[in-house]
Amino acid sequence: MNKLLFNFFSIMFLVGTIIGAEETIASKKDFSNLKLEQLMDIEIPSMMDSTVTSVSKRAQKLSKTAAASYVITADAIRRSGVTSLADAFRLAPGVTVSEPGIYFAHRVVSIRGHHNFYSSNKVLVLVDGRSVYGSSLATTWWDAMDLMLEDIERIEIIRGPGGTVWGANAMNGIINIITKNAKDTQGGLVSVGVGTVERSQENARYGFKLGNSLFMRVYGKHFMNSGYDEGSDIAKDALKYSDQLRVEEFTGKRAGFRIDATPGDKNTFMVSGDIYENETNTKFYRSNYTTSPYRELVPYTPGVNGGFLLGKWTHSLADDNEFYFQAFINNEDRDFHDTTFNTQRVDFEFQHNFKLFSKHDITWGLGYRADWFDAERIPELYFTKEHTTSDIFSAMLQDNIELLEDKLFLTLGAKFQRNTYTGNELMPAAKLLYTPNQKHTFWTSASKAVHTPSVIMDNAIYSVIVDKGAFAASNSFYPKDDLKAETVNAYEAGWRFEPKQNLWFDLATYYNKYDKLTSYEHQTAGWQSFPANHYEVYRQYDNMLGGISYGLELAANWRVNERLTIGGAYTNQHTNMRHLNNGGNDGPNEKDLYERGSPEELVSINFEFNLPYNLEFDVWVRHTAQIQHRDQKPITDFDLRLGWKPNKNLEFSVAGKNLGDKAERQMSSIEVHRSLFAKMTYTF
Amino acid sequence: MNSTKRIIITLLFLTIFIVKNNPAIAKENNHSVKRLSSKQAESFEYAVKIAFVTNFARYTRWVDSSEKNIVLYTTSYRKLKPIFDKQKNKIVNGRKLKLRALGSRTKIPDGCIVFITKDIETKMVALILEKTANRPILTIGEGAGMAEKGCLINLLLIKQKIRFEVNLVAVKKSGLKLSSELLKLAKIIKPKEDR
Repeated sequence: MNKLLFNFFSIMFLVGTIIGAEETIASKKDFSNLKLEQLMDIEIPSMMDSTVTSVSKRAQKLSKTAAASYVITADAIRRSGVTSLADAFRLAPGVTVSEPGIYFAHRVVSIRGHHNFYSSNKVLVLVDGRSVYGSSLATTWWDAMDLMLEDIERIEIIRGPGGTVWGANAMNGIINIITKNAKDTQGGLVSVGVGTVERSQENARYGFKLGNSLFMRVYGKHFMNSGYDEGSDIAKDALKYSDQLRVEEFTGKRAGFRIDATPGDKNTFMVSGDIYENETNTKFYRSNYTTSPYRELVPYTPGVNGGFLLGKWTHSLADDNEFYFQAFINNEDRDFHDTTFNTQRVDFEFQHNFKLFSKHDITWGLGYRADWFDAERIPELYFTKEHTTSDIFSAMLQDNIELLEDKLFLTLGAKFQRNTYTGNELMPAAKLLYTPNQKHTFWTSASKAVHTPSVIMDNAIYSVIVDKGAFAASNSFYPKDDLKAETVNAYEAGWRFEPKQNLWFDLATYYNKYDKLTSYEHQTAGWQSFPANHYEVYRQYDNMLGGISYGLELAANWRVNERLTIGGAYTNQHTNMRHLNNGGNDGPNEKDLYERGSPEELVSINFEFNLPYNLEFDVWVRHTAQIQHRDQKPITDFDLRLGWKPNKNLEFSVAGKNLGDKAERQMSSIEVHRSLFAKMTYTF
Repeated sequence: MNSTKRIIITLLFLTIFIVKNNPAIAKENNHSVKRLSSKQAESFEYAVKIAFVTNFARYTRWVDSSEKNIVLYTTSYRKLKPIFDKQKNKIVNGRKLKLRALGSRTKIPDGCIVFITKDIETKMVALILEKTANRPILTIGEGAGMAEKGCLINLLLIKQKIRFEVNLVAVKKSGLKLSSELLKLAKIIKPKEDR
């Protein structure tokens, strides 16, 4: 190991010397020989910096948003060397991403704490404006999110509530994944990768022109990830913590298309669709209520398959006066224990924004969504209603007022929603943005957001069998059909500072006050005769927790020169919860999960070196503080990536993940495996 | 010391080394860089716009083309001068394009081009357009509503691309003739009062 490190040092030193010797390349800016037609084709880079659409549902400059926002660019995704989408989120501050390995496919992504072991339920995830938030568990199933990374334009991560714009469930944050316009993915791309954990990945895409300003791309993807040996630590850990599932193999396929059309200056049309199928090869404990040990380890291959179709029409009535209409449908079948969830969704959205009296930027919109959920009843997951239909009607209005020209902006807005579970909900927000000059931006906001219950919380009895020797016992969770929405009142402030054109800092702080969070309450026990006699300890969901969370996030980026860019993110987060009803005889578990289920500190620093001979070298160092709730010790780890582009059509890369000392990582309850992944990309 | 610590230290040294050995830190801008500062983005935009203006001049049939130079008056001389100087091809049908500043007292001669940038006050815009109206002067505006106000041509930024409108009524009154090639690419504006 030491020898390896010595070699590594030497290479780094050599690399440094070469970098030092290279000169920066100046670029030209002469367009005087171009014809009008050519000039009309030039894309003008946006002023200031990245564009963000997630904050107010319209394109805004990152520095003009009164929210804690972070953009992960396509290039940053590529250079991070990640093979799955969720891993890329670690680049952003405030985001906790669980390690794979418990239930391999199932990742948990949380923002600003609330890192629930089983669900990412307080973060709203969108792909091209389409909500992928699942109604079944009120969470995002990350295993069905294996998008083609090469086609992602950028990922916008907004910390803090976005209920005023996005509606329920945008409670702690929003992750908006934006895929590339079909026009920007013309031609072919083939990439193949092999690795030690991510065993193989094959991607293919082809983009072509269908007509005058009408473009299309089609793509397909296949991957296979390996699991862990039965005797390995990780397999033992998986059993310890999930007692249901562990993974031997995870495979998936996905195919889709996107069409973009811009007939004239006034209209744009976008249609996209996807079908996917994933399968996990694993074992799980099937309950058996009659003979000890009352459960049996059986081979299990749960699958997920689904698809969606999305259409969006944007029409510009005049400058600063535009509306869009968007509709999508999706369908998913997901195996869960011995049953299958079938979820279907239809969603319509209309939004119009225009300028009023030159100082007001008005946005208003209407939306309707219907969700259907069907699942066959099984003893372990008994739905009181086999078919559930729920819908949401929403209306929003927002006014962005320019109080001082180009300097001071006040945004007032509210979203009204009527949903099947909790009735009427109002989510207001007020935001203030001050940009005294081009270097500084200050913002502050107060907002309210809600999170609505899941189908399972509303009407399913969930039981886990425990072996008590002489008899079977179960831990059961009972639904409550009149659960209230969980609410948060958030107060935020931030400062963005761009001292030089190649250096920026982004600081955000928050204080969130939560109310009516759901927890398991009212513990009772007794003998139960369904499906066979057993002792049942049961608890019911109720809105019994409240509390606060507060924290600070810092992001920075320094483009030292053309050879080196350094990015960093630091997160400090804390949660304090209290029980709203002292009479409740259980719940400390939930309280503990909220308070100590998330790491209180996260650090990410990434170095991107551009070397001569078209070589790229990337180092990504990460630190996750301990997670007390599940005895996870602090982890400091690093990834390395080496990329080479021998010509403009070809790219090779080798990435090593989690390369830190094993001794350190072994201490954690969930061991993170070192892995290696080699990839070749060919474009034509 | 574990390997993570080692790598962090190595990186620190390497960074210091690169910073020290490369004094030309981001002095030059590069179009391929994702994050352009506002200044860089702006100068890029104006470089393209100047190329547009040069082309407009080429596609215009001037009343009198005996002068050796053709003058482009602008309200943002200081900002545009360095960008203008980088443009190599400044020949307009055999004549050379020159950049001059346009102030409130500047006398605007016939046969020139006037580029009214968007950072100018409404009052000043009105004053310039009053002076140039019905004269063979190619007035070019920038931003919504400028064609309606009386500019012959107006540059617009739509979806990060530059488009332009032509006020045909104003063109007719000016006595200049714009070629059909130019009009083909333009959006035609007909002000209400003249309809």
